[in-house]
Amino acid sequence: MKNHELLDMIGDVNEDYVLEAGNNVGKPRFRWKTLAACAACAALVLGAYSVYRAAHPPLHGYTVLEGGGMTTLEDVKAPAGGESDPNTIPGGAYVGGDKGETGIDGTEYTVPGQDAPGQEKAAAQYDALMKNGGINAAAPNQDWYGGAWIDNSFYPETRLTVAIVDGFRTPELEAKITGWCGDGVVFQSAKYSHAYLDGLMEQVAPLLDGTGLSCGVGVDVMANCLGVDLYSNGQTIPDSILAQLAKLDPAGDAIRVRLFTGKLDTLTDDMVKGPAPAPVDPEARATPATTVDGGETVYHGEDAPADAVPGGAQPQDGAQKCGEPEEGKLAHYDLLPDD
Amino acid sequence: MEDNQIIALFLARDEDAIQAAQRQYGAYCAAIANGILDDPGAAEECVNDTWLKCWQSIPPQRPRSLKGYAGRIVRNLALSVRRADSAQKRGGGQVQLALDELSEVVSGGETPEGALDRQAFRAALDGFLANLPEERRNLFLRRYWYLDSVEQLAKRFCMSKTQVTTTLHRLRVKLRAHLEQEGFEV
Repeated sequence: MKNHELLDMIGDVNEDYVLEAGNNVGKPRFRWKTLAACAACAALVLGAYSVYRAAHPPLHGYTVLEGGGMTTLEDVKAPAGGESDPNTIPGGAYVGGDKGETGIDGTEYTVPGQDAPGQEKAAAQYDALMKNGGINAAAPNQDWYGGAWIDNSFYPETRLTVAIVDGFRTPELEAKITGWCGDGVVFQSAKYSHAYLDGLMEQVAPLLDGTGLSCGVGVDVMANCLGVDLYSNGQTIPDSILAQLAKLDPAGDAIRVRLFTGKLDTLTDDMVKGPAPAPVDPEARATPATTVDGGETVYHGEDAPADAVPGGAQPQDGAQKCGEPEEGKLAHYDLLPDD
Repeated sequence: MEDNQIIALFLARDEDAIQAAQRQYGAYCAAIANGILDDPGAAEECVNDTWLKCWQSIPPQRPRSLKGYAGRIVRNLALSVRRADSAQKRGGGQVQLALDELSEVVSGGETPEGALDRQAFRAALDGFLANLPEERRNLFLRRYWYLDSVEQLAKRFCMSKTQVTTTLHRLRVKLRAHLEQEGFEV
């Protein structure tokens, strides 16, 4: 049979079928199969993501700062002091102006805080805020309170800055605080209350216990976050810690994690005594034992008399000789306490 | 005017029957002719010839449906014109494509005169179509009766071209199996 014969025969089929096909207009079909396939794929992706997330929980971000060991220098002024420090006020605000120091204007301080009458005013405002606002300075408990600090950026004037949590900041509250503290208070919005950050700190601290990491945790009121400073000392932050921090701070802005790399500064015998001196071959010595400079005899090396110093300068009476420890003390002891 | 009224005019040998048929089914017949022929002028001529054929055949024929009757005539006329133009026949068009596709169903060998019972074969084709779901049947007829292109079918049936092609292939395989089952050596 030829194909054109079949085509002709098809022309003779039942008219009803032909007319039905002539009138038929296809309707858009709801594609159940496509929809089911898409739903299955979506479920698979979500399921896989859940499994992946369970195996790889989100980690809290952190900033790496190079170097930065935990060095504490005796002459560095710690901004947050205890009650015994006459220059600090409750909450850690620093008043400044130690006796014997020189201020920006070049004047020497004779009385602590003498250079900053504005700071005294701001400190008094701070006290008034704590007292009238019903704020426990050690553990702030007001939902609206994001923190307060003395801002020196208005130098020579200083001002008390009060952070108010978003949603609580109203003209009425600002007027109330101004009523407590007086004029000149600066207001700033904050996302988190001090109480919330304190609560966060109580949860973060136990996480870091037993990890072997050196750390410092504290509320940074100016940055409105909990600062967690970790000192790696050659270690990396375990993912489990970062995962738990991420759990505590899903938004990622309530906890600021900083990792200080490098080893902690610890004193060693080498640092105390200095490196062992290289053996000197007297035969190979290139420079003569003495030279004459402007009529003065300059001594070098072991030929120098006991009271000579390199370069020819004569030591003063009673002064310590270079490279020779004082009796009963170690050499290079400037990093060590006297005992 | 109703279908049976126009047929009545033909039967009464009233020349208004041709005009009435043209008004009622002219567009339908033109669509069929244009689907087979690429030349609108030739298609229009086929439609005019269709009414002449109707005039000549009614009576004695008394079609159940004038639309179906006229449609079949215009299809056959258009296919004849297409075949007469041998260059176009080789050159392509939906007719050639449909013939190529139908080659899968038939062997292409000569059928001895009188060996094929056309009535029985037509009944077998009707049986095949009757067993198909409506959509498949319509798809088959739109392709091999109306000679719609695959693109037109895809648009009409809201299917992709691949789906149309695949479905038609399966229908052809099914048709061959059905005809063999009915005892036809195709």
